[in-house]
Amino acid sequence: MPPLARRNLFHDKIRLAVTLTGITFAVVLVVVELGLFLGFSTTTSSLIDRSGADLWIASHRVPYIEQGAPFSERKLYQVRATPGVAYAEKYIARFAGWKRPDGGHESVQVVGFNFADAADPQRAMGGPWNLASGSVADLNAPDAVLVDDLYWKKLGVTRVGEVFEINGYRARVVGTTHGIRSFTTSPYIFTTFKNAQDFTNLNEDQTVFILVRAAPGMNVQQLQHNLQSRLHDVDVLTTSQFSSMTRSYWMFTTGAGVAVLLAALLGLVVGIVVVTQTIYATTMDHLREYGTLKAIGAPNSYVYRVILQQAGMSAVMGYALGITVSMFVVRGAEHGGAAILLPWQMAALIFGLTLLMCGIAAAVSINKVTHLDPAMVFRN
Amino acid sequence: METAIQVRSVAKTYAEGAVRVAALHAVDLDVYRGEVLLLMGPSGSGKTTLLSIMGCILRSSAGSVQIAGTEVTGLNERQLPRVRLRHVGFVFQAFNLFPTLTAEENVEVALELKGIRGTRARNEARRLLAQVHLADKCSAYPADLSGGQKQRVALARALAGDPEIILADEPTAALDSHTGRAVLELLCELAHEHNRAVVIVTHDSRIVDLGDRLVRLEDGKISSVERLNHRLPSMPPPGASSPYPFARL
Repeated sequence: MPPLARRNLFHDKIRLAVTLTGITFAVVLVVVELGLFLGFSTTTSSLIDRSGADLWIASHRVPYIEQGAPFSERKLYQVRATPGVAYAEKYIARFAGWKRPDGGHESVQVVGFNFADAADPQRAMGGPWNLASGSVADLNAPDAVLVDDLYWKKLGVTRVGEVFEINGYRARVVGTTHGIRSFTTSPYIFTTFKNAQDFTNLNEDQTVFILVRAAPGMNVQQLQHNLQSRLHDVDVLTTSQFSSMTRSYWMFTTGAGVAVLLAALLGLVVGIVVVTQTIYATTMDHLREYGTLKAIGAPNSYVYRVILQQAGMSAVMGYALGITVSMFVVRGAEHGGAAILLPWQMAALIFGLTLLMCGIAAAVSINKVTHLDPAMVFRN
Repeated sequence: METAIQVRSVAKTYAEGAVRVAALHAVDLDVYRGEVLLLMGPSGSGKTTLLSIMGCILRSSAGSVQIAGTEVTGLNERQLPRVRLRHVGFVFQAFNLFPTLTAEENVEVALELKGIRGTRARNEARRLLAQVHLADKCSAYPADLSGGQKQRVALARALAGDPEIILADEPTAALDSHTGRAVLELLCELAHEHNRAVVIVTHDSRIVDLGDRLVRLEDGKISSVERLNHRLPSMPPPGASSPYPFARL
């Protein structure tokens, strides 16, 4: 087939640049907004998803992880005594006040986990990940904490070994993690369960959560049911249930996620409008040629194919440019407070959306060409 | 001679809102293979309308039209392009070449529409361009060609797939007289030596001597038919059985 679509597309370089800019802009906008949504969504539940636990036991009707209320740690023994439980540990995730060296105060979320099992991957639950400096073993001190390097500036940390105050208790930075973001403005501070009890003013016999790992071969839903029937005043949730509840709360109940999703949708709409306008204008430029094609006997399907090929080529080139720019944006965001995620599934989805966007744009042009009177070729 | 186009009592009325404009009134005309028929008349006389109807681009409001023996009056929007594709080649006043394609590719487009693709299409496009004396311009873009060369590319494109009818709308209007005459001579050659029916709409009285018949239109009616060339021995003689007097001339 003579390369009519390709030549038409590349013939007017300025129009091509405008078309590709429109598609690239739309792709970047959608990647950033969807990536932010995904980043926020992942961030809200990262403590749960990375806990390594199969089940979470929380106070009755806790809607999300930050809202956990203390309960007696005696329940831990009931849990451990339940058949099918391999390991169960106390866990704290609670807000506390961080005092900066300059006297300023910041809110933090203290995460306390069972330090003793941290070195054993079979038993470790709820510990930090992405350690950038120091080790979990360094937490073996009454004041030791790990701070994520994204929040050093916010918390006034300048080096490992510095000493701060959390709710009036001495806290010494013994290491750093990298990229563990908090959805709230309060950074996570990892420490031992015992330290966390102090930092969050809990009584010695209190915990906020119990993390449970099922024995090999044990059905998690069945274990959940068994535990729920044994324990009172607490909820037993699978990790995915609790993760989903937390994400749903932050993303939809607070409206934050809806705003980001709407922005992504807006990006898509803006993209469709820009691309439709440019592809339509390109079609208008070549209307006489389409009229000639129809006059010499080309069926509508042939003309549609030319327009769709133009739109498809625009989509592929615009997507390639857009995704390249987006990767730089994603890379740049790695050092910021808001995570923009771009997994391959989302990249594939956005490629599909780009094709759809250009398809819609082509459909508008096709509608015009369908009603084109081939007798126009005789009018000058 | 074999009839390529048969037009019987064809009328065409354009409606624009409440206003109805009659462009053709009960036109009868036969066009034979091997002849060059010139359609002349003042602006608005219906020449282009008649050409469009004969080319199955426009539907008549009344009457019947046969193209290569096929009645096309009742055909729908999907069937008419097939008739055009199979039987008719068009040459336009403004050439209507695809500016982003080379001369060869312009011809290949028409060949592809007729199911000829790949190397066969390329070879055929080159042969057709050679036939119109443009063998050395295969790779040239329309912008790099003179008006006469563009029209010859358009002619090569019209010849793609070997249609028996060539319809040309003012093919010399955008050309100087010398180039225009050369293009018309080419059209005559196609009619006489390749047994095609060639219909040319023109305002140019200087080229009248090149045609075989001259049909004059006025106010949507055929006002006169002149036989210009006596090299059409097999045409039905005057007074023969055809009830259409213009067709016999």
